[in-house]
Amino acid sequence: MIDEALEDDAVCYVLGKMSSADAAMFEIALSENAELRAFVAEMNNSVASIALAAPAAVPPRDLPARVLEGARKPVKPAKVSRVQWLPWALAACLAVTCAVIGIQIPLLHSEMEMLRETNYNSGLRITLLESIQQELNEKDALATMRIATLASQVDAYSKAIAVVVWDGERQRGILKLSNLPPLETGKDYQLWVIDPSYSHPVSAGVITANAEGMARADFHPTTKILEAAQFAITIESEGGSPTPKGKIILAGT
Amino acid sequence: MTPAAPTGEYLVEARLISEMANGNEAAFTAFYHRLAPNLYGMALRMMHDAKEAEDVLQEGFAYMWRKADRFDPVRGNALTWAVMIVRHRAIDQLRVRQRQEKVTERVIEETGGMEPIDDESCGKPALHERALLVRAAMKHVSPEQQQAMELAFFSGLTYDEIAKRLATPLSTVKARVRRGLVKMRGFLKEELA
Repeated sequence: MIDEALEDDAVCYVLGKMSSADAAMFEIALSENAELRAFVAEMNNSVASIALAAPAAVPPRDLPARVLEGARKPVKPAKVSRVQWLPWALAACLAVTCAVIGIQIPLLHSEMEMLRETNYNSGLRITLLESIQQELNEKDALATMRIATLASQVDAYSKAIAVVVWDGERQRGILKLSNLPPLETGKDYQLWVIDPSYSHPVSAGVITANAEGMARADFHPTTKILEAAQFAITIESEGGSPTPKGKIILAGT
Repeated sequence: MTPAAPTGEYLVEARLISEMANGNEAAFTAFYHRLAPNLYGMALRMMHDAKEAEDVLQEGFAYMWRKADRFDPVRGNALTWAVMIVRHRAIDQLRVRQRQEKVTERVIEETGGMEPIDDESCGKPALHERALLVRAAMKHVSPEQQQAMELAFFSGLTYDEIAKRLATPLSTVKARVRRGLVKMRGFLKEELA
């Protein structure tokens, strides 16, 4: 059953009114919820039908010929004058600066690779990630949005895949885990955010994996995170712990 | 639930797109003449400028010609695919040209009620029957829902901006759009069943 808030999100998504970051998060939910996918498909049709509410008009008759002619033309490399270089040079400088500021972009590439392996709508998801990457090239987005892939800290979890999407502005995130080995009875996974402002890691909640070793969690840390320097997952006693006591199995920035 | 494979008129359009993917220019021209009157009408409603609407339409159809092989008839009908492509270009254009304020004023003036329909001025477009059905469906939603839906669809405004324009809480705007669309879905399902 989809609740009204999720339906609102779905409509917002279909109308193209979500930010790239929110759309990427919604895409994750979409990939895992068949009912939501069906609702989105129906809303797509309803939204598109609104176009027919506008009166039809006489379109240019020669437009198909123009389109086809344009498609037949080979693309010639444009002659670039020195003056035209300037904005490109500035853009290149900005891109280099952004690359130095954050290490998120290689991580995004890893995330893209992982998403390519998923079954649903991977092309669209990659497009969304590319748009996030574009956003991350801008300072504002860099400050609020993080995508972290967590690396295994122990051999038993060497095949595990863990990705965190963190929205610092909204203080919320999504964790996706797969390829987890079976967990001992009476134990739980717990996600932590390491923020240098605090002396102890901040708990982001207990994570329960399914029988296939997969888990997905929307998390809201218990304390306001000023800087998410690192994410880590430990194995704790069932129900979790106020401070990490178990072994760190996955961690990453 | 898996969307059904195309039937009836939708099948005609799906076949034309399939031919387009094989490089059939005649199929492209036929597809254009079938959908363009409604898509151009939508673009005009969004851009409020014939030249800009034409540019948007041209970019949209150029994309459809290049990417026809990406259309999957099982995941959605051809009209939805084409509308979304042209609408995205129109919204990009609205944002780039930063003409929202101007456009919004006009959209708001126009969404006070349904516009008079004059489809006959461009002959009887292929989608005439479907357009009549949508207009009938629109009568089943409240004027507030219709206004919110049309602003959300035809303007390049964000939900926040729509809420501000209508002096209505954001949550109310979202609920109006959602409820309107759900009502339309129900009506269209019944009529097409």
